[in-house]
Amino acid sequence: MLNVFFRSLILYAIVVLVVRVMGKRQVGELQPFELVIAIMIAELASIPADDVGIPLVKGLVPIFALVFAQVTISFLSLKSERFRALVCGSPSILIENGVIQQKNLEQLRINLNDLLEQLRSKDVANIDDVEFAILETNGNLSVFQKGDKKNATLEDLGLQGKSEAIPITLIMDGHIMHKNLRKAGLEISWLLSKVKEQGLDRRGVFFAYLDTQGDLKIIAKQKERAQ
Amino acid sequence: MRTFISVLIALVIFFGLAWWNSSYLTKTSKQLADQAEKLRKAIIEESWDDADTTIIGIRRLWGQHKKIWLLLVDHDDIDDIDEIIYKIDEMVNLREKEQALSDIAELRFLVQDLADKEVLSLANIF
Repeated sequence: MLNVFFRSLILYAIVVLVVRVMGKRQVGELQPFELVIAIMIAELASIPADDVGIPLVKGLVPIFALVFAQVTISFLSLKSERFRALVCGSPSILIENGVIQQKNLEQLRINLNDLLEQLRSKDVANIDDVEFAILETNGNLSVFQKGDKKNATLEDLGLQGKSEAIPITLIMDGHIMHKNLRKAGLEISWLLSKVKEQGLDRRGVFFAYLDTQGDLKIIAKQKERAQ
Repeated sequence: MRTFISVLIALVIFFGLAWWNSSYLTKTSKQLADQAEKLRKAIIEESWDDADTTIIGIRRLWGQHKKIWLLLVDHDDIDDIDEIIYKIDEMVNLREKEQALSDIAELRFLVQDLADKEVLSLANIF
């Protein structure tokens, strides 16, 4: 019982590590070869976790083999366009100038309902409004609306936008983020004095951050509700 | 925080049960192995009446422990033990000394191996 518990913890830690090695894309949108690897790794990790008769190392070898394959395929896809097309496929145009490309739809076995659903999820109601709809290799539909249907930008209106900085977290759940404080070029004494001005101490701060304009925002902790 | 404490309590209960599981299997497998050893000695000395009494004792002991073992270990292993006890019983009835001794050795190995597999150790984890 305890052996299964610890084997599961070890495998869990290794699979988390493996997913980190595979990169951020693995967590989000998956290419076909990445999806296959993700499914296989989940399966491979669960078998030795449960069956104590299988040495843990034997369970780990196929996982590492798959990571090696994934990293290699990703690298080769990065370097060779032809290899990328072979492994990931190529994007397909489903709508061009408001006209549905029926042949492509048929080839990809996508029905009209699925296409309309995807368009609606992109806030597009009329097919006529679409300049291009492209099915990407990761299964996402990219939709480009016709020029006169696009949202107006500040540039279209002849206005100039303000440049914005990245928000920086300074206190999180009562803990000061010293690294961020140094990055922002601020002193801890300044931060604590600002917190005090709000009638709080450091431990009473739930979240404090510099917003995109560089202003300090402080959110106090809420008292736990009585049952 | 409340969820975390609940999980922590569940974990402590789990560790308690796991410890009990391991010690219960060790204790009961030792009882079975001791009985098997008693039977082995009786057969070597060819005192078949003692052997008959001991095999009845083994079957009774196994019948008591089996109900709980079924919750804790692989059912295939339980079937193996069941099978070997029936074989020993039959060999004792037939007064087949060599075969009975061989089956007793197998029974002792099976019960001890099962208990050893449940002990928390690096060898078992890896």
